[in-house]
Amino acid sequence: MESIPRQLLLVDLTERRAETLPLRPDLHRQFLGAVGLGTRLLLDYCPPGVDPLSPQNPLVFAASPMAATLVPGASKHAVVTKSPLTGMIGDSLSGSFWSSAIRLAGYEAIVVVGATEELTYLFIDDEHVFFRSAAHLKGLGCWDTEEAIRRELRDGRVRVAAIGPAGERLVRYAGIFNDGTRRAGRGGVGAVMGSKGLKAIAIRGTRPVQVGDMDGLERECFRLYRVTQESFTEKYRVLGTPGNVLTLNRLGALPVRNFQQTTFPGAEAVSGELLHEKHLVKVAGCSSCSVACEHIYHGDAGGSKGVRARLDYESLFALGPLCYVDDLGWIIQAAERCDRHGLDTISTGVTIAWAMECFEKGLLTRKDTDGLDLSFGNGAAVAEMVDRISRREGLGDLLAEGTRLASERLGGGSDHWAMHSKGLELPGYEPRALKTMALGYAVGARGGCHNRSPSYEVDMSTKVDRLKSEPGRGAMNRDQEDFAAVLDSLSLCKFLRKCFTDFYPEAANIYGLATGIEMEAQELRLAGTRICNAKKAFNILQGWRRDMDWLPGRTMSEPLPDGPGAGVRLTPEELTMMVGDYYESRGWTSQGLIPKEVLEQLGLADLWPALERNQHAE
Amino acid sequence: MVKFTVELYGVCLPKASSRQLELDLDSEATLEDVLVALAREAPALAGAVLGADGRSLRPPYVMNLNGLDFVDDFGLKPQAGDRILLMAPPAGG
Repeated sequence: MESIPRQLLLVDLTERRAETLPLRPDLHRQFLGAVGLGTRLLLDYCPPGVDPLSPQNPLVFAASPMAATLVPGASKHAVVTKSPLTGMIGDSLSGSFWSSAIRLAGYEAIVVVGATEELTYLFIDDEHVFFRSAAHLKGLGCWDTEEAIRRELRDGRVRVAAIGPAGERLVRYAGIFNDGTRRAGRGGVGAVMGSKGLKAIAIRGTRPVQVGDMDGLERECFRLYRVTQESFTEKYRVLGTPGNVLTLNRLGALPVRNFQQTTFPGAEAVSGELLHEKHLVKVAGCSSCSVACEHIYHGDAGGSKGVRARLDYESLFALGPLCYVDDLGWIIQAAERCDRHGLDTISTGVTIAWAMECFEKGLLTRKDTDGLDLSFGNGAAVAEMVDRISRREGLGDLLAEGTRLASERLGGGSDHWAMHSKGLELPGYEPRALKTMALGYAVGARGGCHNRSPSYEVDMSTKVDRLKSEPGRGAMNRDQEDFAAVLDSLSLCKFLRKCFTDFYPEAANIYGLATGIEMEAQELRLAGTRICNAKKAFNILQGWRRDMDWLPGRTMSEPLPDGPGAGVRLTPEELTMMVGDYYESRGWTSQGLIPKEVLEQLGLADLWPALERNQHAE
Repeated sequence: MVKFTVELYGVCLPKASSRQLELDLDSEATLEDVLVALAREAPALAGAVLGADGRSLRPPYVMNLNGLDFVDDFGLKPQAGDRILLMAPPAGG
């Protein structure tokens, strides 16, 4: 069944041409799908040294290899490109129905190259591809664009992924939104889409999807469905991830006031528990999902009543405690505006928090903010800045560049509190209180990320002392990265990860039943290692340097200010030790480069000639 | 007798109908004894957060001592005044 034909749709916007190409039969064995497949296609289509916002940068959409089947939680698609925020790999996942739409149209992936002068949207109607003017959609928000295209095509079942005004204006952390509130948010994939003049991709997929073993798949999926209703997923079903606020606050691991505190006096007022009790509108789920983690809330603030937004923990922490805002009404408003304009909520919140600290320290004044009081705690100012960033208006133009570039331009030592790694703003897990996570942030291929390196799980277990740096964390972080790479490439929702008794053999079995690609547990595990190395290879080819595997100045010069870990430090020496330990665990050189033998062992030998040239140039 | 405080987080909280519970236990009490006492004080936790035997935790629930150490050795004897946190560990995705 490995002979099931799998196709790629290659779209050249400059030439206004689309062609269907067969995918190599071994590609789904080596790279699975979604993030893995997208990484391999990026390596194939992206020249070294390309400007991320130039037509030469490919934008890859890769489906879950098990989307549109019965497999629960296999509904994400990956968007992979060279990130305009980091200059490294940008791989972002989004859930809901778009991944299924890609496969139902007959493809595993869509690669978009080139650019168009006139704002355009693509309509993929199974094997037919239409280039349509989007001039009338210019400036429209993400949801409005979706609705407008459905009306225009007179088909409510058409699935749309679109950018908002932020993507059109090349805000470096703009995302691509689909199915209402779902987003490929991180890394600025929406800015790349905007640079191509591509407003949206609409898909109508009506073709059947072949599976390896329908009877076997049915049996296995029903078993998994039952497990997903047990205690493993209860927190996601009931409270969603906003339930993390009070626990992280109690553990002193909640980033507050731009990482100046780890506990928040207003935590109760922005807790998942309170959201659930007072603000919940409904819960929703992705295609074939049995968990339904998506919580939609309503809130009132500033004269606006009943504004609705999807809030997860990351959006909540970034637009709330990190900006010292304890008013759920304003947090919901800010989140709604991020979704409408097409912005990543983490990068938006972290960048605004950086600006708030600049304001606090007098580096930015009311003159710079056009009179806006950008003090910590001002929820109305946060919501207003979201608007200004999306319009690149006034200070918003600087903030639209993200914390790394903005701090370089503003100067005054503000890079010390620009909370990013490789240019990607840090998520809501305080690295000084979670030392394995600190390592994960530092070495992450796409920058500081809790999803590609979920090493906070190690820290919040009995395996380690989370406040301590020590040898051995390198291998732990490697294993977490490889595991995440497999999940993100299958792509199985991470909220199901505890539903497996023995993940690799069980997941390999489901993958075989769904795709016909039979593999052993060890082979699946190796695919995760291969994907992580492929990402690193891409980064090396794009100019990665050893000193990029690092954390912001604040993290390594200021001890934890409060919470159970108060006084604990993460020193540069500790981080250097852990980074070296990680390189060693991967079999890389002490400088973090990939030796030829490692590439050969992983079936990536074809990358060696280019890497060798690059590494010698270094 | 020694007093222990159990703090409840996330979905544990509504099942116990309380943010925290005070337990008076023997000075030699172990964490297993704490779980047994919890099942008695908050029966809705039994079978949902606590295992069917009432002496263990169902996954993914965990215990943490004083916001610092996560523990899975239920034979451990907490110290007087310890605060025992019961939670599903924070996670995203």
